[in-house]
Amino acid sequence: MYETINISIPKKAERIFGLFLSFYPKVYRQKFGNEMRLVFYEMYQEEILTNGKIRFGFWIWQFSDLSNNALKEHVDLIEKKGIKKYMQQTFNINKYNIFGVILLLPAFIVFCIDLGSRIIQGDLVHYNRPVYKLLSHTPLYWTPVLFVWVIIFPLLAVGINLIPIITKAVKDRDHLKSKTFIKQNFTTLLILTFGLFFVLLVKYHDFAPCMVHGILKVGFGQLDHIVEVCRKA
Amino acid sequence: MSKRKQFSNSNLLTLPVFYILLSLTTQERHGYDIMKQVEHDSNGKIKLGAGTLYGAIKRMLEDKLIVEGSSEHARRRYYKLTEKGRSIFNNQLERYNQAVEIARQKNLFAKLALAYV
Repeated sequence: MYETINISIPKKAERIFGLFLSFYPKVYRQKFGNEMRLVFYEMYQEEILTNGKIRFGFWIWQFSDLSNNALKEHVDLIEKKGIKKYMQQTFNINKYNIFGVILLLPAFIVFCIDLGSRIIQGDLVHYNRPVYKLLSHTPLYWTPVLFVWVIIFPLLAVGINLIPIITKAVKDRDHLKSKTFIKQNFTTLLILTFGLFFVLLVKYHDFAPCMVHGILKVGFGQLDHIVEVCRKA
Repeated sequence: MSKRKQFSNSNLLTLPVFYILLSLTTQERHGYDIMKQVEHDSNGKIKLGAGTLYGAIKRMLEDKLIVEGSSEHARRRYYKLTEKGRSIFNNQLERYNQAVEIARQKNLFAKLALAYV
């Protein structure tokens, strides 16, 4: 029988394995995580005894094996629980997050088109006139409707996604200060961040690319001058 | 959505699962022990990673081919074959045995040896 012995491995190796293990669903980690960790320690020790060091191939193998099987476990979980429960339990996604994503989608599309067309023309400071002229005939860029996509909808997304946070905070005041706050509300915080980002971008949509362009051209050395120029952009 | 095929007498076991069950025929084992035994029994051809090993263990537990055995160590879980697991393994072994017998009757082993010369 192959007996186990007391094994200690470098903290860095433990952290890397911990990261790979985090690919698995929580339910699976709770059941098999400890055992998998112990097996990994023994594999690590064996690699050192056999090859004198940890080869890069060892880590490639671990990543490939764990990520491949983690994906299978997620698929298995979706088949067993259905997509709704899976999203709730794995990513802490709630109905407010889904509404938030739908509300942010038009602003995200406008942002990507604007940024992409500025990059293609090689000038971040000014919007791409031909692209703008073409899209101005579409509902996405009609002036009153554009106001809805890039300001109203993101504000609504922010407002809706504050509901679960405020609700939890009212029930448990310590929730906001808890160590797991960010982890438990990661998707919600992400939507809040993007919502506020798009609203701010409306105000600074010429200032921001002008700053980026200026910094890329002359560096951070003349930041004051760049800010002064871009304020008038 | 499609359901995963359960282990049964009619389905072929994958090689890793077959070797895991083989390792448990003689005694109950913990994860690393199973891993090393599989490597030994397959002459080094099958090296299970922790992901593959515990993915297989999870499915075998769900289908009741194996159960948790007695554990001397609090941190370790040991696994052993159930009657269903032993029956499915024996059935698979019988299939392989029949295939080997047919190959022997057709003198395929000698032809195989010549092919490598």
